[in-house]
Amino acid sequence: MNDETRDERLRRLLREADPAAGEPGLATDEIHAMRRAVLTAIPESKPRFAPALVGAAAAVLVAIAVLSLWPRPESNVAPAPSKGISKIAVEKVTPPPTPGMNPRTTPVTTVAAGLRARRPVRSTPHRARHGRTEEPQRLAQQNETEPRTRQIQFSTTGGTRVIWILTSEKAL
Amino acid sequence: MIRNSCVRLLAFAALLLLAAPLAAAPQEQPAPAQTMRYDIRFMDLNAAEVLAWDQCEQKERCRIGTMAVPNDPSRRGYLEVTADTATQERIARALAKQDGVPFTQSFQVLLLSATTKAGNSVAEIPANVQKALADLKGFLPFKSYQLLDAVWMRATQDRPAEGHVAAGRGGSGYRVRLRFRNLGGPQDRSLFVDAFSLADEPVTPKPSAADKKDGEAVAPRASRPLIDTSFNLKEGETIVVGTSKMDGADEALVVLLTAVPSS
Repeated sequence: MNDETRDERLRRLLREADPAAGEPGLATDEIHAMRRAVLTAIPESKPRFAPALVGAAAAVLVAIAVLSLWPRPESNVAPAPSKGISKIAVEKVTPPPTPGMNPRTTPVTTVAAGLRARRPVRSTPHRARHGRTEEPQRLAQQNETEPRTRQIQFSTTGGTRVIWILTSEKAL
Repeated sequence: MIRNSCVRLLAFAALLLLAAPLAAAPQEQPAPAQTMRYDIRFMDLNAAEVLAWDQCEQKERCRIGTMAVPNDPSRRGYLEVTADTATQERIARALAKQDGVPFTQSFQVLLLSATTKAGNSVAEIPANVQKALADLKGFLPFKSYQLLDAVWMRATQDRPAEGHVAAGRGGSGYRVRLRFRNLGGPQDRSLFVDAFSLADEPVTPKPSAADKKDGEAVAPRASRPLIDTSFNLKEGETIVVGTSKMDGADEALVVLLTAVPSS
């Protein structure tokens, strides 16, 4: 009768087949040399985009910013940049209950997220129109109690970096 | 002919005789290495380790390790260095210079209110942020910017700093909090502001006469966070942090934050 379980047998087989099991490992000098090499290594420069791609990307960014953020009469989107965007990123933010000093962990989304960022803002009334009668009320109550926040980061052509936070709260 | 050959042979032999004692001279013995431990009080441990490596001229003869002490408020950890005496002296001098006092940074905070209505923009905007404000004016649709208040904050690395900005609406004010860490070297400061927040501080309303009669206390309105973000900032740079409502706001609050150069 073999009492050895499947996991134990697998573990034993792996250990038996390990080609480096009998080796002593790195010497202390080798470990230090490796650590030194890592600490003093210079990161490789990343390949740069072609100028044409940069120009196209800038044009797309301008279009995204103008189309998605410029205030319109029936739109509930906040004031927007008008020109000279070189970089833009949008982040969905849920503010903490108290203004503490904990560092933020929400990652900033990329430029492409600029279009997605508007969906939650407009999706609520869209779903409410097609939903059942209780759904709009519930969503409306939820909207009143939970402040929504969007964070946009961009830099002007003059090089000034701007972080803009759009909030759904009643007043500033 | 034969004489010339003999002269050359003798000269070569003389050179060999001169070189032999030089080659046989004892090699200069390297200075003995010693291991020392340094307290790191304020610096980031990795930055301290790199600083120590910079002092080590023969890298293969130095060993440097770090040990963090997370629960000790008086120090961040230790640096253990095995090197010759001269290198140890250089490391000690460098650490005494860089780790002697906590890293501090001054910040200039200007709070402005922006509106789409035409108005008189204030002229008392400091010169160092006028470029940032000009960039902002060309970018955002607001027509006038009013300076509400300015505050100067001196912050220590990794410790929260707080400032109060007055002149809010109805006598209320705003509370600015930030915490930063230096990612660059002593000459090239690059700050990471890992927590920056702006919250309004409403004034507690005075109880009316009727309330006083009834003995009811007026509850103060809770502070409301308006901005909560993080960013990188170079020394001397001005960053714009603003907030407005999503639903077609015609007003906004704008903070111009500048990391003031040390000299």
